[in-house]
Amino acid sequence: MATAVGFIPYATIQEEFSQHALRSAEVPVEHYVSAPLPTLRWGTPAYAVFICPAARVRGMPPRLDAPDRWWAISAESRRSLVYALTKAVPYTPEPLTGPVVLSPTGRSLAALKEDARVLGELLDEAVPGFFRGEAVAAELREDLAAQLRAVLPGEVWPWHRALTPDLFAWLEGADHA
Amino acid sequence: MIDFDPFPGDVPGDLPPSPPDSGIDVPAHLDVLPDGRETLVIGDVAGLAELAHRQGEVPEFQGTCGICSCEGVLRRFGVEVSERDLVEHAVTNGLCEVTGNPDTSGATTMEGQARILGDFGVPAHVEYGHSLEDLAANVEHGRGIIIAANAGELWQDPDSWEGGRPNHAVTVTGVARDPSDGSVEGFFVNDSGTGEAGKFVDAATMEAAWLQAGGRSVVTDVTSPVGPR
Repeated sequence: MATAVGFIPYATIQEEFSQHALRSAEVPVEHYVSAPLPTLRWGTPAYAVFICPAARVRGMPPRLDAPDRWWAISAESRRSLVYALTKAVPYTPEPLTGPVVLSPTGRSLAALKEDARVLGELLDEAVPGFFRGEAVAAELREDLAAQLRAVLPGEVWPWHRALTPDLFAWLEGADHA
Repeated sequence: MIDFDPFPGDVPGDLPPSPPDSGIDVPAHLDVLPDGRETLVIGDVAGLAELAHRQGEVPEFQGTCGICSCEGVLRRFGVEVSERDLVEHAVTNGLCEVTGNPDTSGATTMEGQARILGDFGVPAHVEYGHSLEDLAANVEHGRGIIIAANAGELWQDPDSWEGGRPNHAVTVTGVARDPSDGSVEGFFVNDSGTGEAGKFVDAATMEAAWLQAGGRSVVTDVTSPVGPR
């Protein structure tokens, strides 16, 4: 369901990436699916994720290969806009280097969940303005940028920036339109 | 189907009197949970635990939680296969990832797991659960079940949480119900990632690890009351 302002809430977008038929049919269970981030790079409001092979051992941070696929869902209809393997359709002309080992979170599960909840609230508040090219308070943009730095592992930050460059440019004060 | 009353004695009228659907098709016995509570264990947890092992028997393919889960389900139905057999089948048929990195090779999709099971004579499908009762019903009917879970929740490991998204496959072998009211207290799983067999996962953890991670399962179309003897 879209919000009153016409965009699907972030929590629903997250569910969509977990429950979509593509997830069962195309994406290995073991793969790392990134946090969805908003973008207009395909000319329509969307959330995009990169996906990469991952190795996990209990008590140790995951080790991720460079993204091998990516996927975007409409922020207005929940329909998939694009799904591609990077070897067929790279999402950036620059090489995505890996593998990387994520740093230990150093946080409790409860603290991580609270961080994620706050990120969702900030995205729901800021993203309609981003999608519409409207002014958004600098303080809100700064809060969102800070929360993204808190939630997204630093080792995969370049992969996020390459996938949704317009979001990061907007967060840093540039006009994406 | 065994002749068994899962909830002997008086059951309060305002509480669910029994599991949903038509009943229990697997063994059940009274036991004690790790926290000391008495519980009704439904499913051949001990027998199916004997089928479990830690993943990684094929050095070039270490990311095989889905394949090991398939192995456990197939062996439950009497199909004698090894992790290596299934890796070879999956590679030959394009049903697992070959990344060039042994740590991440061997990964499978849920649909791929269902196809592997079917290829070895145990038809299965992917389904979405809307509650823990949906999962419990499949256990109680004797179906083989692989769930897409969040390893961070399952292992209580923040480093593997990754936003709570599904990132690990395990088999579900039993359900624990409160003997007095029939409510789900938790489930038993075989986890090839840790090598734990018949591990108890309480209901709240399973809700976070499975239901909130999408609630997806690979479920066999056929049933078997117990593991092979």
